[in-house]
Amino acid sequence: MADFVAWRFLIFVAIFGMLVYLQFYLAHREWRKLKGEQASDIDVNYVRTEDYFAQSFRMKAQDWLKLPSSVDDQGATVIVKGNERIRLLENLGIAADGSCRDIVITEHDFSCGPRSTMTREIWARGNAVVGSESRLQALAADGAVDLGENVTIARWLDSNGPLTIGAGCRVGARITSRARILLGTGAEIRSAFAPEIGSAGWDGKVTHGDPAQFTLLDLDLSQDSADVGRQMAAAGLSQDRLLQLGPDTWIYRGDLAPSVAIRLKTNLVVKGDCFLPAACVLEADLRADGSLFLGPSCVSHGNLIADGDIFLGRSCQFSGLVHAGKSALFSQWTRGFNPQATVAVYADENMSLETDVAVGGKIAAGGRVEVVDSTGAFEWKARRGIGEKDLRVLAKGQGS
Amino acid sequence: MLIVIAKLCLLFSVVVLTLYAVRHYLFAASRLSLRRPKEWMEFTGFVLPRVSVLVAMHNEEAVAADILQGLVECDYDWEKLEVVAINDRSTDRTGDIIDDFAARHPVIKAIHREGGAGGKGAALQFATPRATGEVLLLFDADYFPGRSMIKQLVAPFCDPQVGAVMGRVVPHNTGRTLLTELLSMERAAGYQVGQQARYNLGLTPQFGGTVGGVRASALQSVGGWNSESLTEDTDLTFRLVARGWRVAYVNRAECYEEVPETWEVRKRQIGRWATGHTECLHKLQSSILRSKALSFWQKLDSLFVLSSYLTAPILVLGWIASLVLFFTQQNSVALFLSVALMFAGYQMFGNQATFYELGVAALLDGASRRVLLMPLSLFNFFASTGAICGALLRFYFGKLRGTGRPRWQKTRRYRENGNGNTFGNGHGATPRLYSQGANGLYTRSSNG
Repeated sequence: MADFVAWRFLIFVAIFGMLVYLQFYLAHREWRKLKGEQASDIDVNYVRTEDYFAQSFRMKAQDWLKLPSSVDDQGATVIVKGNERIRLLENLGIAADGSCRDIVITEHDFSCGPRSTMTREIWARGNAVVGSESRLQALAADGAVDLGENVTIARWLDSNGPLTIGAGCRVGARITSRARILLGTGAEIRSAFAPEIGSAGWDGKVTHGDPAQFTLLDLDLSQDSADVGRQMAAAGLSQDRLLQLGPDTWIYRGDLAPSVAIRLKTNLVVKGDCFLPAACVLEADLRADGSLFLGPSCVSHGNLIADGDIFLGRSCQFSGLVHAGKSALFSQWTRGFNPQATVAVYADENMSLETDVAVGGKIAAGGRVEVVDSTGAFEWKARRGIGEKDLRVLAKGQGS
Repeated sequence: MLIVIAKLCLLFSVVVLTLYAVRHYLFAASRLSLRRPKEWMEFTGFVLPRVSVLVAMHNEEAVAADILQGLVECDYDWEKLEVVAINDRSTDRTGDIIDDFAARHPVIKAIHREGGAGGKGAALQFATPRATGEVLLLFDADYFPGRSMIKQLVAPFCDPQVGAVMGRVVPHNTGRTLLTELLSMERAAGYQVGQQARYNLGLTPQFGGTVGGVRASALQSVGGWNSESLTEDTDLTFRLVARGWRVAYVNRAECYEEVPETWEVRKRQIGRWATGHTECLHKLQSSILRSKALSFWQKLDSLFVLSSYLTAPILVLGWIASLVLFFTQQNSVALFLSVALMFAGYQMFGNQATFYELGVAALLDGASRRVLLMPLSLFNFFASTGAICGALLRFYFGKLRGTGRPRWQKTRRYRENGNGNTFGNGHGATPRLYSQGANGLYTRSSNG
């Protein structure tokens, strides 16, 4: 019996020893392979550009154009590179329900009829017109682009001229234009970058009327304590909740809901939700650990940051950056422009734009950017418990 | 009596190390979840404050040209940028290299510090009043910033509560020795998993004093740099968060660094970190606990971070207690707790990384074959444990005897120096990224 136990113990030791040896053997073998290798390469020359995919495709296409070509049965010039077929044409017009499986480069315009299918990238050196319900891989145009309704682009879309996205279109990745992007109702994209981006109904004006001229209560937290106390009391806020973070930045503990329209002159971090009534003016940055709700006609010159949702009421204007940790809704007539810089808007989840919203720069979302009608906007607000009563409170500024 | 003490010590070791192990499992699991990490890349290029880049250089002739040339080639608007190159009491050609760059590039401001206390904190304290930026970015002299690095690092400052930001450090000399390979895995775990998970979970990623930056007004609000601290970056991190500032982490702002190639240099480096962290723990624990700006979990995690190097002596204490119990015939207790200690202790080593975190980091970085190297991390584990215990013993004995604090020691560089010589490390030297041509201009070397 004792011998049997000893044998079992020895077998256990042998197996255990082999397993230990094996892991060190494999580790040593791997080390010998890796010895002398450098870390995974970081591209130190990397520069982020919004139209990277389209520019990269154009550069590759330029290289392909230098390769030897032949003429196919239909008289089109064809370049074959490995498994890729690149078709070169003066113009290309595809009829309804047509399809093409080649990469296409047109010297001038490109167009396709409704329900067409293009499974590879297209580079139109003129304008491009895509019929409704068509499906494309990716499209770069040196002129203007016009997408019909319910078109699906699997990847990116880029143009040098104006870019019009029809109602209900879906673009899987970035849209970029060096002129203007107009998004139809129901359109869904991942991000848009252009000097001017507008949703359906936008007339091209960078402001929707002048900012409302109301009497505002100045809230300058850098003043002496007694003055700040008077200002806070007049706004229905508690000075006890105020904590100085830095020379130009304050923390307000709890929800912030001034009872009158204010002009905020210093950076403020709200450790809760923030509800600003109509016609407030923010001259510095505003951050909320919760959500941020701005009533109609508010004007923000700084950045708006929230860990939760961001809601901008009708006719709000902003000229800084907007970042929502969850989702965001910009109401009708919201404008985001800055003459000195491009603005950027980003929501970690979804970004919803009502009709007639315009931004000069970039709109992006971790989920999707969508253009919603009044029903969609109502649903967005209902999901967050913002009812008509809350909207009336938000709209109730001193001057409204 | 001895047995009771041994049992208590062993139990204490197991509890502490198990808590740390659980914490690391949670971080790794959070990084494996499908939730998108918090990041600021979409704002890269849209946030353009006035920036001062501070580079403190003490006898850095081997690497000075590389970092300065890298910064000169960055894509940030020069109207809003200044590079403050600090020649910190150098006795080699560092000052000449800085002056040469400053003469050719107006964006570079040369500052020469002739005397005063040693240490990076002291150099930064000297240079900060001369910097005009709203944001101060910091790089160590052995780092290689990419062209867009500055834009990536300043993006989070659009949030008015962000007081400091940290990018990701990636070793450049990975495959040179076994140690550099192991440190590369450890860095990946520390940044790809530890820092990003802490940021995602609303805890505090650590500002590492390089490949990062601080808002000038935030720095002012906490009284500037602590030149007395051996880890002025850790000290600043927790002074900022205790006041209410946040630290942001940008995982995609990756920057190359050199890691120690020899165990001796590694021992000194981790010893300095251990001493600095523990100093910060004693100095800042009460302000962290009293802070009204921190939540319970943020306070708890901050104390975990600052106490992390104490886990090495706690582990050794557990080992000693196990031996005592074993040789005093307390087999039943010793066996149970020793197995638990082995399990928990095995998770803890090096720079707050665990085996599980190493594996997850390798997976996220697309370098999953590197997990095969993990058994070799035991060498790093034992070496680090010894170095940390030694450093902390010296620290506490020094405090008891009143002999003052340990001296700051510069970490050795391995790149070829300006004269084309190499440091004798037995493995050759890492090539320079830039070389100076006959016209005096620096160009990127083909082997860089």
